[in-house]
Amino acid sequence: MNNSLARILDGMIATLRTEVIPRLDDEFARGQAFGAVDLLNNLKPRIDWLVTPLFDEVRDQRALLARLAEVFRGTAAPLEAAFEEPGAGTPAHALEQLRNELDMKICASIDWLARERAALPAATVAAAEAAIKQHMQVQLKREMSLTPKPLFAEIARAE
Amino acid sequence: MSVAEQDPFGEESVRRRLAAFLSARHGSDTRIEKLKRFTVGFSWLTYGFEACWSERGVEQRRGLILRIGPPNGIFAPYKASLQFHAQQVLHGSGVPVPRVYWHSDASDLFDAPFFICERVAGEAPIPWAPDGGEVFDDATREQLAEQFVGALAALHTFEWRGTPLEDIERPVTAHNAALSQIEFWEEVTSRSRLRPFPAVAWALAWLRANCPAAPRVSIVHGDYRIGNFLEQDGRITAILDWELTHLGDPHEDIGFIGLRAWSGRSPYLCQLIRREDLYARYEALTGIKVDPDIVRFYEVLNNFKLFAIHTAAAGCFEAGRFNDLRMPAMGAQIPRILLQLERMIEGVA
Repeated sequence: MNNSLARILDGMIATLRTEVIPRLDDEFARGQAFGAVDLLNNLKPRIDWLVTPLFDEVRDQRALLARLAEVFRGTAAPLEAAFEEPGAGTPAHALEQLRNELDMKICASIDWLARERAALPAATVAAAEAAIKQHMQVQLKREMSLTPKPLFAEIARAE
Repeated sequence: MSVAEQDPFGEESVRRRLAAFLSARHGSDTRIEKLKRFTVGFSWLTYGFEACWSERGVEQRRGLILRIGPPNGIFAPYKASLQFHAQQVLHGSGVPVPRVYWHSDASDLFDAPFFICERVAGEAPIPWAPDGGEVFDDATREQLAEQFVGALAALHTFEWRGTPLEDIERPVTAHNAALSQIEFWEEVTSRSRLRPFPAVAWALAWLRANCPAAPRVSIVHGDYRIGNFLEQDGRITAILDWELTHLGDPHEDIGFIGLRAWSGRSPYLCQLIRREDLYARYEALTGIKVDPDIVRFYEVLNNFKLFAIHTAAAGCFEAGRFNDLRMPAMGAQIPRILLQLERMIEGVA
């Protein structure tokens, strides 16, 4: 997901209250909508994102950065020392922050490779590109496994 | 004063301001009837209405569209002048566009830039059929495809030099057309301040390394697809949504038509025409040779543009500027766009 859980829940509650409920003519439907608002209010302090995919993501990011450090050894690539593995009880918001920091490092490596590729040995470029591509494919497939088919037709037609 | 009346973009507020504005223009008290805000789109707010006034004792009635670029919209701050002038200069050409009447880039009248144009009859078909199949029957598709390509050809061969567009648009040449679009959409992406994506850094590096020169500089619609035209009885009555229009490489619009998002599982681009038929018909009408490599470049760029738009929507929602739940729903589909982007680059690298 690319919005924070708290904002999504707040937005759902606000939309139900200001846009949906005032337009519902049916008493039973209005009661159900208020029930949904009540449930969302109760969920807010109790839930967080699933941590398993975030742990998997961070593990793969660390592996890629370690591989790039190896491939780019002896160059001026902007790579730091290995990042520590997050502890088992790390909460989702801390994992999200770590994931974003590591993605930022990967993006910086991609930018550096694009700028310097002409000056690097072909084997170095090929090895780095292969590692980055494989990582991106795994990352995107993981995200897709969590992404249901969109309801574009229903949203556009409102039916 | 009720909440509805306080909302500057609520129907009552818009009705009151429209009546005052049009009364001054018509020199006669003008009533606003059948005012309706449309739910389509995420950027400009769109209202349909009928203006009724008296001219030399004769009752006049005209169907109009008001579009407002709100300060909290996903591409704010907005200007109305570009799309107003684009529609103005194209009116009467081979590109069917609604006639435009008034506009302003200032925020004094509607608290935001706006323009008013004629309301054209027709429905906007959407690219998604409920069963995932074809949207049109064969005869309708053929009819619409011919007009769809014809209007595009007329747009791309339109002589924009010497029109107001020449002064409004940033200087674009055949050599910086691609790069200027990359930079524009990169800027949109950076404004949304969402998480970084390696697939995006990868795509940007590829795009910058592969910028083609344009065969000519044309008016580019920027959002030319099914869903952005009105159709009535097999006739395209208007090409809509000129918000993203700019000067650039005509291949850009062809690359937009070719995005899988508009065809789904159909073999017809935009549910209208096969790729080879599009190229052949377009070349015959324009004399512009379609370069498949440049089209593929623009398909990658346009997919990045879709990413930027989805990111902007998610960012707008995250910042609390809108509670429209379609925006985070768009944000949730970003992995699908990035996967497509990565596959496209792999396919053309």
